[in-house]
Amino acid sequence: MPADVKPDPLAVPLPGSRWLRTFAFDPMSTRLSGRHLRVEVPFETLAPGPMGRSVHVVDYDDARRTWYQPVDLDLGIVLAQDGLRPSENDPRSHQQIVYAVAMSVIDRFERFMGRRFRWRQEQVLRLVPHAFEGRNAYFDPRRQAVLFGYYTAELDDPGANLPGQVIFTCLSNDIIAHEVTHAIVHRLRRRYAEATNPDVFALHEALADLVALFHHFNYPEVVREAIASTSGDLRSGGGLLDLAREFGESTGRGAALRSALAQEHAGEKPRPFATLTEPHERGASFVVAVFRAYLDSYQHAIADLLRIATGGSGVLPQGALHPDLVDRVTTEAIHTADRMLRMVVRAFDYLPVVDPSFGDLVRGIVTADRDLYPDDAAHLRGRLVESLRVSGTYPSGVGSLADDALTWPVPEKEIRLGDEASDVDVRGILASATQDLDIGADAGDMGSASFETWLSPQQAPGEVSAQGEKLGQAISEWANHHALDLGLDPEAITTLAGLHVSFRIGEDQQPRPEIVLQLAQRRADLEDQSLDPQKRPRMRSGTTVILRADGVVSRIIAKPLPLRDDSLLNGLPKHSPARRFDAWGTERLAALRAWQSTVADADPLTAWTAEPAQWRLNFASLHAEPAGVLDVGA
Amino acid sequence: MSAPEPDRVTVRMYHVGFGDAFLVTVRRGGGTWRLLVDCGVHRSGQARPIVDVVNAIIADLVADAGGGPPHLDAVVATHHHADHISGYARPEWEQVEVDEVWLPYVEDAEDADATMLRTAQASAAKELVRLVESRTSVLAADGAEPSAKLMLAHDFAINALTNDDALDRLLGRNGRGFAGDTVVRFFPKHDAADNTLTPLPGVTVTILGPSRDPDELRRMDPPTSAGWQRLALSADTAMSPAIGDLFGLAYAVKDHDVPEALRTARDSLELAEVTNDAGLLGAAALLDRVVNNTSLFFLLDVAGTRLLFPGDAQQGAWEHVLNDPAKRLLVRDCVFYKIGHHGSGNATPRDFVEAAWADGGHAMLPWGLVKAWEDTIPQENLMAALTAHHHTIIRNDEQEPEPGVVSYQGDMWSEWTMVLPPAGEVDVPRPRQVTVDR
Repeated sequence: MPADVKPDPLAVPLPGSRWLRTFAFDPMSTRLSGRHLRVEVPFETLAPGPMGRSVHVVDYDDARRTWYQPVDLDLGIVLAQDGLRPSENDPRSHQQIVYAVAMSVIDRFERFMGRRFRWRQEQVLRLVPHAFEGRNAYFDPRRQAVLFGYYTAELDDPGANLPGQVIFTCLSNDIIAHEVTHAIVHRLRRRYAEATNPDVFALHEALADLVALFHHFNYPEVVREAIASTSGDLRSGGGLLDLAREFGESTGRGAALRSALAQEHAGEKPRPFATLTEPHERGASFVVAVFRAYLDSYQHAIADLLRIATGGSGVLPQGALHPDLVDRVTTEAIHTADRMLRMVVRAFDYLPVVDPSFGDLVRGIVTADRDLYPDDAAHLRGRLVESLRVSGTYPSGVGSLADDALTWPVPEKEIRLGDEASDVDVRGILASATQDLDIGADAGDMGSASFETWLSPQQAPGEVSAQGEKLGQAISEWANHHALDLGLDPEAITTLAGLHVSFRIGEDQQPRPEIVLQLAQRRADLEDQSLDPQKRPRMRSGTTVILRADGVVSRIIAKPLPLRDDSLLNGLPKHSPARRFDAWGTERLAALRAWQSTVADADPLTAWTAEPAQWRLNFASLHAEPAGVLDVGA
Repeated sequence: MSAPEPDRVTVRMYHVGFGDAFLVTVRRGGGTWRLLVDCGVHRSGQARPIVDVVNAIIADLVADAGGGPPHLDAVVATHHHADHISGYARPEWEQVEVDEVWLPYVEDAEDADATMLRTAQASAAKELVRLVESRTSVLAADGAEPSAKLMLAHDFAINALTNDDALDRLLGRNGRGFAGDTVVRFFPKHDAADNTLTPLPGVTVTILGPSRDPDELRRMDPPTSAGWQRLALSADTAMSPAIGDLFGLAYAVKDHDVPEALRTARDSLELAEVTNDAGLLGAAALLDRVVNNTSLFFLLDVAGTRLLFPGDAQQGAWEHVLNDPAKRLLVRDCVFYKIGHHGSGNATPRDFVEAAWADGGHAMLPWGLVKAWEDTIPQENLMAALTAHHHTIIRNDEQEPEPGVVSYQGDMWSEWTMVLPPAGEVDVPRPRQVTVDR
């Protein structure tokens, strides 16, 4: 706090949370169940919109050239009743719902990631609840916005809606959570918007579905009801499965996931992951594997409660469960869901910069979790790996599914940021990030804001902070100096695509600081030279580098490409990392090219336009059919 | 009677513009067999009025008829895109005797699978035209031009409309038809043996596609939605009404009642640019491809000289040919290939050029300039790959005569000829009743 402002001894401290009402989980299911939700979001002072620190709701209806009155959630009467009562007919409650769900998703990510979440360049995410007429809602990276559509229920097959009734995608908690997750994933890994292999968008989808699905387990009243309704069948987790199957029901979203869950419910063996080619199916397969691991862990977690409740027999009496037992089981169900999702989200820092696969995600999950919980005492990691094995999702090229084989490799020799090859102030970075964590204190002088400012290519030159620019240059120089050991090309330009410090709590309850660098290279020399440089699929390599607090590299997560000048390998031992990266890069290059032509062949527009087919795989097309454009096969 | 002409096969490619019109003439053992493969042009790529081409074909047939009426042994309509059949709508065809019309089975009104597919494709085309045109009129009301995406989508959808006038002639419907008795035949037949025809001794036509395999049929399914919009796939599907006001008027507020930060955000969001044009285009392009994949795909074998006519079959529709060892062997030794789909990038599989087809043949490119596709069709990589495999590309716009093999008549046609070893004289029986052969 600045020194010239005198603290007011009578000031009421700000509340920690704000509660807002939403549908549960959309107007249709609320009509059927009569249930609403109260969503808890961190308190912040809001301008009408609502406009807060992270999101702005822009309720302009362009088709009708109309603003709808922006809701003021800070009004006393609104605050006193946990926001407006959700109503399909009141656009202000639409604004409230998109704000509430978006903020609760962001809040969850922040807690899981172990660091403050900021949008790139301190831009806010814009939510446009009535953006267009159409059966879609999508995150648009160029606009930094989630655009929600509205449409009329079909006249001949309206489902549980009235024929011709207007359906608002912005009223579905699942869709909001899903789309905001796309935005967050995009913030963390920008290049995952480039469909460089069949898993990239499937992974985006899976993470978005996973977060949206597990968000259902964030509401005690809903989980409690699901558990209470399945008294005889508590051990099988049937009620929780039903809850999951509600996911996206009325909005036509999540069909692949629901069908995978239905298979799970029917006890059918899942189709092997390797045989699935359609991104929604691949994504759904992964989500169901995580969900299965969740159910296993949940059943394990409540086993003792069941023994206590039944005098050791495990057989529950007929009739309603004891409310105390329901409460305790509910707590376990929520707690386990939280830990499972946390384990997945925490993997983000351990993901490659470009071109991810589900195998990479599995390795990221295992590495992140193992670094914090070497013993896996709760056996969460083991259950997840087993469940992924059953579904057939595992990384290629690992010898076994033991922790050791699944974690990302550690460097063979010591590489240190801040060594003689670079002028990087590692302590300064740590100190600044630490300062950022104290919400009462001023922001650190190298806080995430200034880190990111100069990382953005759109930034006007005058706005680049001199300090940030210097740091970025120093890190890039350091990376090029060690390029051969980091899976990069010493002769290509390295850009720092991300830099942050996270503090996660380990098994010993101590915070573990970690510095994460995202280094990226564009390899124009490997792109199709017959095409216009502006209209080529990009060839990128990249390496995520995890550093300990002393600047020593602890993990290298590389997606290499072959060296431009392979004479650099002369004289290096046969098994040197540089040779391995180069060989792997050659394989990867072939795979990238094969995929580009697969996508081109599958896209009927390839015949007609010079734009690379890969570019047409984007978020807007992801949720909109026609299938056939995306159904490109592996 | 003058000395018999030497046995030979010629393929004359008429220069319609962006479209196909091929007259194949086989002379063998004193018999002559004439086949017209397609006659149509894309409305955005006409080199000349299609009637001029129809008249040129008929004049050539008259000149070749030795005083009799112009005659074709068979007419093929590979698929119902306008750029392949629009010319058949012309009344001039009424003077031409046509013995047989060959169509892909999807045009068979009596085939249940085909009818479903055809109806769905036709509804999708109509619905897309409607969506594109209603969007264009909304833009026009604002004084705005349709985007390039929208115009291309319109082109595809119009091209995919059923072209009823031309089909009437081909199917002998609604009082239209050709002169003489005509048999309409749909291919392929269910029985593989019925897919090899012998129009003259030593001359066979083998039908290779479209596939009747249910899995392959999926490649002919029309899109069910255009981006954010569902397409009505049967005529009786009720359309949703237009959406009026979303909320009560009391909720609408004026610009100045909204915080400035929101107005700034609104302006930077450019919401008017949020359109479904890409979705419409994607669906229209998919529709274009599924109709291409209904193409009648055949191989003509004249005493061992093989010619391949794939229609406009795109990537997927070649798979069942290239993946079948016997069929792959058939296409290997072709000396002539009608380049599929005007030389676009995904109608001639890499596998065909790089592996399946033996080097050193001739390939004919039916092409005319359409400004919008100038950079993409024909695809440079494909042309380069054909040249690298020592194939000669015959095209009207880059004429390179090859004595005795490739010749041109001004801008009207290009011709490829192969002289064959002589064979014995034969009598060619002709069917003489109107039947529809299924």
